[in-house]
Amino acid sequence: MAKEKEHLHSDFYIRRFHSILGIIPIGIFLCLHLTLNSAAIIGPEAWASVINGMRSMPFIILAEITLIALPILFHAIYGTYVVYVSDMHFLQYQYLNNWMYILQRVTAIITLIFVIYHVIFVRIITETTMDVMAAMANVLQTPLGFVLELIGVWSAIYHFSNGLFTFLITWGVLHGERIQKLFSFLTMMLCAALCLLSLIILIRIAMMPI
Amino acid sequence: MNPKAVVVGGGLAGLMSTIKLVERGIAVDLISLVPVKRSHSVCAQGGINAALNTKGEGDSVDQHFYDTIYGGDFLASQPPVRGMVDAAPELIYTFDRMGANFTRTEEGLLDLRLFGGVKKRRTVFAGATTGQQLEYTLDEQVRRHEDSGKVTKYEGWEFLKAVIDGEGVCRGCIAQNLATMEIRVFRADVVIIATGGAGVIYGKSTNSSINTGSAASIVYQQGAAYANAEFIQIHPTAMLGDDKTRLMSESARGEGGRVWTYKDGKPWYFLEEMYPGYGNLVPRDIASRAIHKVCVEMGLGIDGKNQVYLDLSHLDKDFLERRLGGIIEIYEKFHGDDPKKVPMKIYPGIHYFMGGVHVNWHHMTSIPGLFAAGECDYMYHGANRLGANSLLSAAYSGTVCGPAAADYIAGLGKLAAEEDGSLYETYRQKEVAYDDYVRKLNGDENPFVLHQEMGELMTRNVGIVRYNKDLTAADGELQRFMERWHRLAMVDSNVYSNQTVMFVKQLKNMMELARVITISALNRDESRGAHYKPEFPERNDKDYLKTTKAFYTADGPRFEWEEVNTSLLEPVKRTYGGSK
Amino acid sequence: MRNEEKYITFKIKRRDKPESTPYWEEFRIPYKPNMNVVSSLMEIRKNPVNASGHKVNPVVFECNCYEEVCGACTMIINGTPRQACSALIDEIIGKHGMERPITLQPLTKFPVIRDLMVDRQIMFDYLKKVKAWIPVDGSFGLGRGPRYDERKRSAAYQISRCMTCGCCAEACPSFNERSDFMGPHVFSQVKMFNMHPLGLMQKEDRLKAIMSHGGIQDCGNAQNCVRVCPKSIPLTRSIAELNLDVNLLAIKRIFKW
Repeated sequence: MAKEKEHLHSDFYIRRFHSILGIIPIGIFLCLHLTLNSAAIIGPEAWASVINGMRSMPFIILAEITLIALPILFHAIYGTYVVYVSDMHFLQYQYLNNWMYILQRVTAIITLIFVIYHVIFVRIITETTMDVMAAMANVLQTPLGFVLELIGVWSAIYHFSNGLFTFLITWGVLHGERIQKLFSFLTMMLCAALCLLSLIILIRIAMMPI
Repeated sequence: MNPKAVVVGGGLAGLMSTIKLVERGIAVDLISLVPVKRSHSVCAQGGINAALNTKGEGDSVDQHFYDTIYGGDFLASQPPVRGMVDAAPELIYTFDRMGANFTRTEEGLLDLRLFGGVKKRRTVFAGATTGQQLEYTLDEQVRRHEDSGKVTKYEGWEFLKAVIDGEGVCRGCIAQNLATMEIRVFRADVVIIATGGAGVIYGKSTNSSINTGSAASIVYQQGAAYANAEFIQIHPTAMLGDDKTRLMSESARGEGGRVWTYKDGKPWYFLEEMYPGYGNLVPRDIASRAIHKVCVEMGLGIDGKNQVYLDLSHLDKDFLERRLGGIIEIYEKFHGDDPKKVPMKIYPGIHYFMGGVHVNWHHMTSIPGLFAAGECDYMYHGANRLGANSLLSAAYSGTVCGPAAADYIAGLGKLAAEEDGSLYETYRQKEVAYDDYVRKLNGDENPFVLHQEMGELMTRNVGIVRYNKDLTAADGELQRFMERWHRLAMVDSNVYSNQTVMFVKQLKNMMELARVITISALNRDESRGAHYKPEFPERNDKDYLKTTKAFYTADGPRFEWEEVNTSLLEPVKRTYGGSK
Repeated sequence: MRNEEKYITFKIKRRDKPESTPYWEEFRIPYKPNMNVVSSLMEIRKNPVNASGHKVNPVVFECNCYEEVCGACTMIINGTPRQACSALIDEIIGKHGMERPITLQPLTKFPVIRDLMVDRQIMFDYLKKVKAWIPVDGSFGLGRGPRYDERKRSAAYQISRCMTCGCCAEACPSFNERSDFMGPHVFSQVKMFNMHPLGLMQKEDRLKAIMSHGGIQDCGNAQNCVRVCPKSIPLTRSIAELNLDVNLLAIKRIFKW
């Protein structure tokens, strides 16, 4: 008995790391991103100045890579594996939590595709802030473009909000059924609020003169 | 060469024997029909007796001993019973240390409840699922030994034969895999049969579907004596069902439940009226006969059927939930009504075999090297078992049987592992041939239908009330059943996991045992404990204070009487009438 | 009025042996009040003829106690994993009517042996892995056991009724052939032993076991387990509470706190 080897299994730590990254920094970044972009509600100039302000910060590229890109990359790669090992019991178990579980995995895949597209679109093929704004507006003015953008953004928001709920369980904060129900409700309210905010932002961008 | 033991049966007795053998350094092959965690011990509900005397009632081991012997109508051999009640408190504490989930008092001590046939609280319990908790506790301990390689489990295997050498010594056994149907040899220096009761002989009973008594019947057919077969406990309170009669624990009455029916339009608490001293808590044989009398003789069953009420509805709901939750849930799930609100409908059902394979005080059968423990032995309950003594006897017999088997091995000259293979191969081939015979049965009778007929016959003729003419008729019918057995149809043609093949073999063994039960009952012209003959309503110590011993012969069982050891308590008349 | 003309239909997913292809077969049996799925299967066995009138092999199924304490007869009945003995026919036809066939399937997360019979050995193996026992010094007498707070004890009692029936694992999306997730039942057992006054001493060993490969981290919070558990064991609460324990232990181990 005594000779049993002390062995740290990597699975547990990787999965916990995955969980924490989803909130810090990715979740925080998502909230920040939505907050900054809400400047678009005021108008193109306000939006441009906020984005330019961000882009002109020193070492922004370094921060973007270490605080955003790498965490997302890790979260996405490991997350894809998590989706792979999950069964989807669609019809058999009509329970709310089961639907939330399925949706978490569906939105994971959608968000992943959307984020890849989004990064390519706003950071690689477009150069200046004005280019980005024009290109965005252009996409959003077609109904299909608008709907796809909305699905992408809302997937990310749902994935974050429900992720926050399960994060609180994974980290041992919420134990009983009732407190879990309460927080499930609260995080879904957060989800609704962020979805509404993002809808307004997208509408405002779509209405911008190109 | 290392010694090896085979334990057949993964209930309380088998698991306790296994643990004891492992602690003596002997490797164990544990053979069980089902994953051991699913053994029938899980069905025991009410509790386990031990004179802990933690209620300030002055309970004592002496009193426990007296109640057990008296409750058993003085048919139990007294010294082993004394050993059991003496060991009970320490045994409970051992279970407690192993993590058995016993209900506690506010002080954190083991709580006790009242049970039938006694006047002091002596029953340790875990809600109303005590058997389940005890079984799981031992299952966990055995899993721990399995994890360290000392126990090998063969779950999903059925015992077919003990291997007995030229000198009449048991050297292992033959068993069959229920999935692959492989028949193989298990060499062993001792074989312990801990295979429980045989309620399935009666078709419907409170027993599980695995309780066919097949293994006990096999060793009986191989020469081991079978004792006191006529003593079968009929539990007074069971739910009627299509597939089985589900037990409603005696603890329901222990916690204040009352039994009644309507007489002249008013509730009649007949047990309280007939037996003012013990009221609803008279021993099971007496309660069963009273219910039978009220329903069958007086025609006062509820809705004109054979059923009376077991009423808990006057008790506090939280109290019921905490103390009896397990059985309340069973009744609700299987009957639909909530016993907290409406009385339960119950009727006596076949429950427990006091008799079994004859063993000496060390649990060895008349075949050296072959042991028996638990319900399938005959030793601790005499003519009637007190409630909550069965978990005790099952666990306790394992604590005796395991070490005794280890001692036996220590005295052996030659181990089974050194034996040459031809003995085993002969036995194995016989079983293969028999398996082949059963598979090729191509008559026209369905084995499950024949079993149903046998169950109905036994329940009707060898039940609560017995008449010699019915018993004689039953024996004749059973012999015809045994002829019909050869004309069965093998309704399953699949070679893999063929449950019908196994059942047909069990059915044959059940028939052999059914005859032993019936003729044993016929031979005993008296009424004692669970054995009741209106033609002979009194106990007759002069002629029948004796253990029935049956031996197999090709022409039917041969019987002997054995003196009962009454060295510790002088037999007195058993009555529960007066107020004590 | 007699019920002679009433029949109920079963649609049963059958398989002759582990490697053969499954097929559906229908059976019709006369209705009687108070039947359950086990008693119906026993009825089929007495007259193994399918709905088209052909003689077939009796349906193989596991069943033992008939009163929902052994866990043997677990199967998927009309899409839900549950015990066949407590699946009352009157209840099912009360919900779906007499006409709709009652579907019976073996559990899908375990290897099928034959027909409705599966091999759940892996659940017991995982109990070994997490050391689900109290390592007593021996089965001999050592005096009174520990005192145990009745409130804690009755919380543990809820868990202690786990029959290892497999309903939770069947409904769990993380328990499947692509993952080595131990299944929900394991964590409640760990919780129960960690609550016991003696079991508490090996708390860390059990926590380490559930932090290993296939451990608690693979729970995805679908929470189907707690809905299908026939004994209403608070499976998700146990997981949530253990999450705190394992996280604290992880921090302790990483930083040698």
